[in-house]
Amino acid sequence: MNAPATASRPRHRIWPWILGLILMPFVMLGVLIASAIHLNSDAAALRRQVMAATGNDWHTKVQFSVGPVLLGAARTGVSFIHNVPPEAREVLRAVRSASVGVYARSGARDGGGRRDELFAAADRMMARRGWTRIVGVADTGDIVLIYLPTQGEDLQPSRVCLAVCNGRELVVVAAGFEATALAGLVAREMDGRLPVKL
Amino acid sequence: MNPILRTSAAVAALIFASAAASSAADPAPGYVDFGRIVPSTEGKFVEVNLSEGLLKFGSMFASKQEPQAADVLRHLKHVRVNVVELSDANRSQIIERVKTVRQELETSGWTQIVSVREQPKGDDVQIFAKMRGEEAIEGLVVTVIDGNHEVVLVNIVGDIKPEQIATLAERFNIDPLKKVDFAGIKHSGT
Repeated sequence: MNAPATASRPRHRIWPWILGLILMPFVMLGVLIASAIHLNSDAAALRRQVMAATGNDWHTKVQFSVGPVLLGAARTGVSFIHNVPPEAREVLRAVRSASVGVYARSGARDGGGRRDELFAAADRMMARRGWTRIVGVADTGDIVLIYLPTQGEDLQPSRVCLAVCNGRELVVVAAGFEATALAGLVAREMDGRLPVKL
Repeated sequence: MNPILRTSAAVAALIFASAAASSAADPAPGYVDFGRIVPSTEGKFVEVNLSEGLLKFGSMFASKQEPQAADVLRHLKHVRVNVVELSDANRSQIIERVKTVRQELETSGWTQIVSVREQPKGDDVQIFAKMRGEEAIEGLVVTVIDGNHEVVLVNIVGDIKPEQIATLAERFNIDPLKKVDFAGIKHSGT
């Protein structure tokens, strides 16, 4: 009598699934680690523009990203620790995500590169990604570019992307934050004084 | 797809597109477009563009300690500041831009409230206001040509009472605005 031909097929199909389930946590951990040591795409794009305009001889000093999951875990962990300063707790409460890169150049300080091209190119590239520049400063070798999301300009800001370069060091930050919590924290730190003078 | 559903989706898209287009095409009355000002290869360049949401956000910082300044900020819709250091490469172009802005303001219903020129090569300051009746200012434009060194352009848009301008000028250190007698402008009306 012939055994049914299909009896062995289900066993062969199960193993890839089992293997996938075993490997999935490692893959997810790898993705998490990879995303934690790279900038998010908006910050990376801004970094590329600034580096292209100021010379590409930059090396990375620090680069990391923390998302809502990691920050949420940090908030939970900090809640069990008693000696954490209240300002630290408030920062954790206010910041929703952060992507930070610090870079240095080993050569001589750059005089600022082609600033006109940098501003135009950075604005075009960030506009394609949905960002509008709210602050642009260039003075000798110093450059500051600050972008906010274009959509919802009449609403309180909830994300920021900025680059600060002094010719020798470049800092790029993209962050998501809770506006009310951040405003309260800054107001207390600045003693309620507006930090801006035009 | 159901023809009714397709038609409804098309109508909704058209309504949305026209609403977006109309909102994008209607800047506030006190808004002035200085145009795109790019930094030269050398010299100082500062550009600040603060939207309504950001200004309200800023008012949250100061609501307790500086309530007057916070109140002014809450009624602002837009603030733009440009500071450009003049060099041989950009002097004529930037000064021409300032003169064009001034001419456009004079011919489009703005009131020139300050005009100061210090000879021979001192500050050249002109301030314009867009009045709404006698009680409110919809927009302010400050134009400064500081000798041959620097140009400053400021546009403040919002619902501003004349007596609040002093607060704005003091808090944000806008020197040309500090000396203006806005009470006189209010009573003369435009």
